[in-house]
Amino acid sequence: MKKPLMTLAVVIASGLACTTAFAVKSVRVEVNGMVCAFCASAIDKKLSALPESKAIYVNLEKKIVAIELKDGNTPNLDRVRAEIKAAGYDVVNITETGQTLAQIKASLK
Amino acid sequence: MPTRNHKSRRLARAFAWAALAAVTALTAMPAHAHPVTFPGNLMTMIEADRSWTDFNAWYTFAPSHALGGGYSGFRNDDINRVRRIPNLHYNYRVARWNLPDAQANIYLQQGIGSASGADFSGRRWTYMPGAQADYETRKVFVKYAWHGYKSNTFTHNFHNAQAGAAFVVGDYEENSHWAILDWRKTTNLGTRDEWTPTYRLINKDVFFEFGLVNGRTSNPRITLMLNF
Repeated sequence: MKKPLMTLAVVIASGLACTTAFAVKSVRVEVNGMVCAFCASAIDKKLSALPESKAIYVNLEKKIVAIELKDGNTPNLDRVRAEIKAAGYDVVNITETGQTLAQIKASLK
Repeated sequence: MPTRNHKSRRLARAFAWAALAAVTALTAMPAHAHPVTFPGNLMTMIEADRSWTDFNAWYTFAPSHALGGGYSGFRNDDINRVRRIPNLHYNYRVARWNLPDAQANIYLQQGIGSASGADFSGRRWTYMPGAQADYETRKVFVKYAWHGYKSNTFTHNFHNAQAGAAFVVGDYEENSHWAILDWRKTTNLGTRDEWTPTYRLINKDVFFEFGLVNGRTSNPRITLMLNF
């Protein structure tokens, strides 16, 4: 009886550990067609309006848009993809990340 | 006491303006940037030099579709051919290619205006079709645009080409500085081709151009666009 209980405890503990390790803080998107700041402000405005958005970072040179999430919010990747498409651009790749916006900025320098 | 004739003329004029407002058609769009932005966005643009004044505001109501209103005023140097055309327009983005380091677009425009002029009396309904193709990277920009102005009294075709390069390439939070050569020609207006060396400033909030038409300091051209 003790063995199954211990196994269950280990599984739960592992799950919690994984949840902590993969806590999503931001969404990082690679976008095609983003060549002009005046036009790319469309993406900034569309993504800033999302309820889970805390801050937006746009890097034209690396073709990256990043969204920092408000605490406790989870990203809706389909919605992010749709908003960028509506702004007139194409999403090449979209990933959740445990990095903050500052860390993403630093990694792109 | 207004006469019956006077009343019916006023009614006809009001009807004409109402009809104009009801028509979804095109124009003298911003020859310079994208006449369709993103749903919910209002963009304004003004351009002025000695012989041309354009003002436009357009609202993108769906991806690839925008409606707007504006004013186009232009004349020849002798000021005996003058066109003043308040107008409504519809802009359609036919195609966009989003490439890793570039973007290209094709737009079509349809518009209708009510023109007054120095060489005719009254007003003329004016059909204003247009088309634009552009290609840009962060360092290079080329564009061709055509706008037609067709009424039962006059027909003008406005052709505009631009090519340029960024001499300071800024990122999203920075300014980009461009050198652009602008060529334009308007048919049946009695004007010659205009070659305009132009400085362009772009950042995320402002699109600004300053040029000297045919290199003359007496004929500066200014263009300003703002997003809301």
